[in-house]
Amino acid sequence: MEIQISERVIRVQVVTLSGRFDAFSAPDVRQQTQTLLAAGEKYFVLNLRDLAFMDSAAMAVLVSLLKGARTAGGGVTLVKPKDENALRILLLTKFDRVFKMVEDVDTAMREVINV
Amino acid sequence: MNQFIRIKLEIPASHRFLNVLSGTLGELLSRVDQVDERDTVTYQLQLAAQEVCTNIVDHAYEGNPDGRIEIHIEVDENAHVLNMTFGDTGVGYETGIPAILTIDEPSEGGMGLFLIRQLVDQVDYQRQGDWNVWKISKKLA
Repeated sequence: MEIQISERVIRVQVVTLSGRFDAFSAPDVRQQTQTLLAAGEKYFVLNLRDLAFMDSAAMAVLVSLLKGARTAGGGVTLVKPKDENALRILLLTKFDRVFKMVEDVDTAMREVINV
Repeated sequence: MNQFIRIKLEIPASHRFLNVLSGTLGELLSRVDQVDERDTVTYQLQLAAQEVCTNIVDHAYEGNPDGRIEIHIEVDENAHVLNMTFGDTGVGYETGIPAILTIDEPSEGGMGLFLIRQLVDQVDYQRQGDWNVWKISKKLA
């Protein structure tokens, strides 16, 4: 009998955003997440739990990150904003069709590696 | 006490200062009588205004930091309606603003114009001389 034990470590980048995620702050988020992608990271949890406001420029950053992560063989899972109005905008723009959207970071960590 | 409330703002055409408009709308609507689902209506008007201004910054002024945006806000407390007019002297839309009425899934472009139409009751754009004039209107109750 042979026993082989190996360890697999999957790195997940948890990006927590709070406050106002808009056309002013979006370039910074884009730059930081693209840097992570360029460094080889491919699994991302975007924690939007405490987001107070989000516009289309911010949403475009999320879409861009998803494309990059998928191209690298990874994925992006969103933690839903607790603000009902912010969540409503994500649903209005059909984010739930292309992103996994869950209630908390722990669930997101499990989901994102099951892509 | 029902009345017309009018506010005029002129802000730099920069993403950096669009929060000034959001703040003004939030504070204004907190003091307006009879707003149904006040938080939701406020959020929707803040986002629609943000999207119009972002469009002006990115497309009309193409990032030129010297541009200015004139904003007139009017609340008619009798009719329970808020009207906003945005003026800029940047590049105009020759054939009007694109009508993006539906989206199949999120994308990296076009969501702003889609959101504006979804979040308010009326959207109008006109080229008036050297000015682009956007008008949006939303019932408050």
